[in-house]
Amino acid sequence: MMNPLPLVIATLRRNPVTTITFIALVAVAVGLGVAITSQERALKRGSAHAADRFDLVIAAPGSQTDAMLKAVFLRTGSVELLKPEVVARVFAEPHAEIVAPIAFGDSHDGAPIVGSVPGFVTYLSGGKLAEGRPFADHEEAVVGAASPLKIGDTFHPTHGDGHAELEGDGEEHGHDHEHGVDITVVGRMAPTGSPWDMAIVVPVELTWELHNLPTGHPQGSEQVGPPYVSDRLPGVPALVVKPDSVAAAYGLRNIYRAQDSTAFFPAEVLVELYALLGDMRQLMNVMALATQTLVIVAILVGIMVLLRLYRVQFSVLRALGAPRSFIFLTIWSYVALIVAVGAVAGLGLGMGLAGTISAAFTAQTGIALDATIGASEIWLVMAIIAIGMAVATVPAALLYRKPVIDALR
Amino acid sequence: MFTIENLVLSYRDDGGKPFTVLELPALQLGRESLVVVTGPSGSGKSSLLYALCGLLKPTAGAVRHEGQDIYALSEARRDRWRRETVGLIFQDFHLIPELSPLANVTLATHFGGTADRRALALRGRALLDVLGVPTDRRHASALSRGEQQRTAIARALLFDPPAILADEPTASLDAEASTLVADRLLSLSRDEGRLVLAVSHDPILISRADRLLHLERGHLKETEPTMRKEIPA
Ligand SMILES: Nc1ncnc2c1ncn2[C@@H]1O[C@H](COP(=O)(O)OP(=O)(O)OP(=O)(O)O)[C@@H](O)[C@H]1O
Ligand SMILES: [Mg+2]
Repeated sequence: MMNPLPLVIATLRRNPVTTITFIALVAVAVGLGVAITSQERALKRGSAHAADRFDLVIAAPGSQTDAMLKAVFLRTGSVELLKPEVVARVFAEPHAEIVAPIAFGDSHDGAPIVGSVPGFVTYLSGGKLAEGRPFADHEEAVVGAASPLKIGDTFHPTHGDGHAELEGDGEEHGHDHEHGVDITVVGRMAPTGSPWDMAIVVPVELTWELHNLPTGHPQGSEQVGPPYVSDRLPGVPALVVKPDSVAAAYGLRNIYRAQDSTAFFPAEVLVELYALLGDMRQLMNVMALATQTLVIVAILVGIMVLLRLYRVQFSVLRALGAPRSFIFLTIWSYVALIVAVGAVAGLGLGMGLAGTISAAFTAQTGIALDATIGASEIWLVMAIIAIGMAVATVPAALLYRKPVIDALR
Repeated sequence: MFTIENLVLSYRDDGGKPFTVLELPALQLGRESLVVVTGPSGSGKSSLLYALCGLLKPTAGAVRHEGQDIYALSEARRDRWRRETVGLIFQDFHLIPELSPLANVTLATHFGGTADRRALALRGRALLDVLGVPTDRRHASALSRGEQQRTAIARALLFDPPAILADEPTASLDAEASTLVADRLLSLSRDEGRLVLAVSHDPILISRADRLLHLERGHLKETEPTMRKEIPA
């Protein structure tokens, strides 16, 4: 049995710094590729998961992406408001199990305060709150799983989050100030993997009240949640609807794709975004592959130069009776081992990189990302190893033919 | 054991004109003799040595070992033949510095086709012991130059070859280490019955020679060894 391993290891040890540099180069190139693909998948999964409970969104006509970013991901930019008549009509739909207005305008300590209804809070939390109970009064709130507030804490909401949201509140915009109410935390949602984990949810009636809008109930009423009085409803940025069946979902979507509203399934809008993201990933993949190829070529050139220094060694081996095939196998194993070790190290590196990016992204947005090693990363690493093995035949074939004695004389 | 017949070795110069480096009408080399080849630089000493061990195919003529023209063998069989028949020793030892002395000696057992690796490892250790090389070093580079050359001798002897070919084996050693190596080479021919052919200008080695071959521009001249009294039959 031919066993070039002791010799390969000795040769690798001869120039440890060079060997480690070669391995590190392969690892970085592979790591980037792994990080890109696993991060992209995590982003898809994370955003899809975050949108899970947002079956149907109805918003004012305009960009569905904007409306989705607003309702699902709480990116508060200014959008048109849905007309009060439309809001009233949706609340009256018999096949809408939950109709949740989403109203913004206030914040506390950087966390958005979102006005909605108690039923939606429970639904978002998976049917049951993690702690406490839904709000039942204007001055009560339910916080997201990641909120630093505890049950029993009280706080003053601050008007504004940098963007003016609601009109007709009579305040000058651009100056954040505290509203003069004390809000008490009475419940906490289970983790949703979405920016809602960092949010504070209050009765939409409070948001409306704070901004001098009608509260959906008769003057002076302290009621929280539906039913609402149609002519006392203000406009809202978006409504999240849980239809009672798939058929109802499509029915409602069709009805509200109309002159004065738009309706969409966030899951569908996400798929469109992914398609866009997919094109970008394609580009990044090409770039990553180009990097990997360049690295392998550069390493190959380096190895050729290095192996020239080892020519005497290989000639001596031939003089000692080693067949050409042994020399070939030694050089091939040497190159293939560098690429293989680098590729496997790159898998770990990419994993770490993706984990770090994901964690930073989650901290920034609240969208829970879980970057994992999947089949495509394993394929990438195996492809690199295969390319390395194929490419390793080049120096092996070139060097094993060299005349033996020239290097010995 | 070796017979050279009408051997011609020539190269082409830059202008493409052939020039002859070695021209030997006939040469017989037998067992149990220490043959030292001398001659000025460029006279073809190394060329002769590598032609004998099957690494340098002559332009014309034949190199026979026990009647077999070694250049008529396939390359794979010639590699195998060389491993079993000739042990090579170089001026600069050419050990693998990262391997232990023993690993250097047994390196050729990894070339394939070696049946009993364990027995050869034992033999390698015994050879190092006999040659006085410390076997507890992790790297051959930690050995003294004399110890390195003796490790190279052990490596050459691993497969118990009938012939040892050495190119300037003592040129990189001091007098004391040279004497040790020269005595060992003499013993390999005298006591163990091998053919030992060494290219050398070292008087220490020349004084032990059974035969002295002198090369001059590729032509051979045999001189009587002066310092040795008894000449083996
Ligand atoms: N590949 C080659 N092409 C052309 N000429 C060569 C080649 N190899 C060797 N020679 C020539 O052959 C001649 C003999 O070389 P060789 O190495 O046998 O000499 P040597 O007697 O061993 O010399 P030294 O004592 O310096 O080692 C030299 O003139 C050398 O230049
Ligand atoms: Mg020479």
